[in-house]
Amino acid sequence: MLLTAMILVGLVGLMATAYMKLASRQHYLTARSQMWSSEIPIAEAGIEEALTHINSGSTNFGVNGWTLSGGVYARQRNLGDGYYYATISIAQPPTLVSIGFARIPTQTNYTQRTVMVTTKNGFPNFAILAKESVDLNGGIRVDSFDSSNPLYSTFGTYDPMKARDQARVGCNSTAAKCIDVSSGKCSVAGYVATGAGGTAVGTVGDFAWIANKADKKQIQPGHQRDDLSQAISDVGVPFTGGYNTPSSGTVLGTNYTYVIGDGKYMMSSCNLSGQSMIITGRATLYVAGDFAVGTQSSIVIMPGAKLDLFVGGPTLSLGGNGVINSSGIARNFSIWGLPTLKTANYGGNAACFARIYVPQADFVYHGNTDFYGAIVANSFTIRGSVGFHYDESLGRGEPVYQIAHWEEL
Amino acid sequence: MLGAGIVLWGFASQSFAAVFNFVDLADNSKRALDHLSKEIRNAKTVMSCSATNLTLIDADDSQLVFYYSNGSKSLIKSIGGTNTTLLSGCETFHFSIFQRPAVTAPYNAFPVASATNTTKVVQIQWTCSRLLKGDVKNIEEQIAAKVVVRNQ
Repeated sequence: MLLTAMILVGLVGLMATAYMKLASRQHYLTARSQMWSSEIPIAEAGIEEALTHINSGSTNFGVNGWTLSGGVYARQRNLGDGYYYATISIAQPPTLVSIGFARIPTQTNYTQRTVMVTTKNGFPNFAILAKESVDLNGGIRVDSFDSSNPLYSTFGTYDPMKARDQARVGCNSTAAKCIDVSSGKCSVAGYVATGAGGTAVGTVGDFAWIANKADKKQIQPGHQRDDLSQAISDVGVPFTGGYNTPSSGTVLGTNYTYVIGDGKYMMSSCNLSGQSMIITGRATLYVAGDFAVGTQSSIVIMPGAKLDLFVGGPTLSLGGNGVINSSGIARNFSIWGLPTLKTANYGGNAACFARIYVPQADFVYHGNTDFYGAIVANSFTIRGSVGFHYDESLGRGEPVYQIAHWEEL
Repeated sequence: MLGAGIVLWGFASQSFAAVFNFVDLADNSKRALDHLSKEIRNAKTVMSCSATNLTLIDADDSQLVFYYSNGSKSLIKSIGGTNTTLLSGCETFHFSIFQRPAVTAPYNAFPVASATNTTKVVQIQWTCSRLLKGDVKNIEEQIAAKVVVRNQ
């Protein structure tokens, strides 16, 4: 009897121990799962620090605790029980890798997860930036305004009474006269910069300098540099899937050949002739081939809408009635030229409010209306008697490097 | 006394089996969720989505499909013609997609996405169960997660 009771008590004790062991194991697995999940935010913290570091304005990344080791800039930082080890490659634009470590519960060992981020260059802080040449012909006046500051704009748009002399025109070339502002009444209210040995000619300086006839075709002291070496990276294909194809429709009682709302859209090519396109949402339109707006055609970007236009063909031509950017804010219409885009021009009747980034294209602006925004091109030529008004908010708000792709390895 | 021992043994065995099943289900669900969430985070974009089918474009521009087979009660990953079962014993399964929140939206409030090209968040919900003692489904594991598409 006693023996049986002891066996039963032993069995019950054994089972109780087993249950406690199971409960303990379950608790351990839950804690381990939480630790495993925590490694992503830890690695993200490393990416955040690396991204902030490369955007801090310094061209030498080997400062503020970052050291060059094994061909990368690296630093480690503790976060609670874990830590991250982040690196910045020396390539341009840099690739960031961050490894998040978290300690296994009740142990001294760590497990790790790795995140890699590739970066791309942000929009440069220039009114006009070119690789080869900048040529202003006729009576072009380049000045600036700030759409984000009511002191220097009215309702976010250019106001001649509030214009500023802070336009920056740059050219990476080292050739003589690679920036030519000497034609007619052309002037740049601001600064010019060329590559080492390159020169700029024409009237450049602050408003007082430009207004003084004695200073005509001269550059104000302190308004010229010849040490420019601005990174101008190529544009990649924005997407290859998950897109819509634009179709016709009616907006506010008007028929349009293409109505584009929120999201991604793709076309093999686009040649608007006697046709029209309207943008009603925040859209990215990728045109793999040529893009043209011809006679009696236009693109309308509604107030509150935004268009990022990627062009992959060799030619971009914006004529006819041009692009009617209803908000008057350049940031709401961006043109991105892939490396295959070689020739681009704007001659539309509508004033052009845009930021244009076509690093491999020779861009000619021959419209009879003013330009508001900024442009980056291989070469830039502007003809006529129009104003080029740089929106300072375009460059100032942009980080030098932006995330191009995120991946957990 | 012997009878009491047998009853105790039977009860203990059933309890152990139940706990083992629960731990095993939780383990399988965590592994599947880990795999799925990593692929969704890394994806370039969501190409299509229904309640039981999610098609992603991955970093190599390949189509990556996750689908729920009602017949086999399984979650299957399909890429380049190769199928891998990530999870079995799924009683219910549901994918849904959401947009970026509005600037003024309260925390964690994501509007439902009406099109895949505006999808920023993918939600996954499933219920797995095991049979114990005949046809009684007394072991169940429920999972729900929202995963951000980082590159969209």
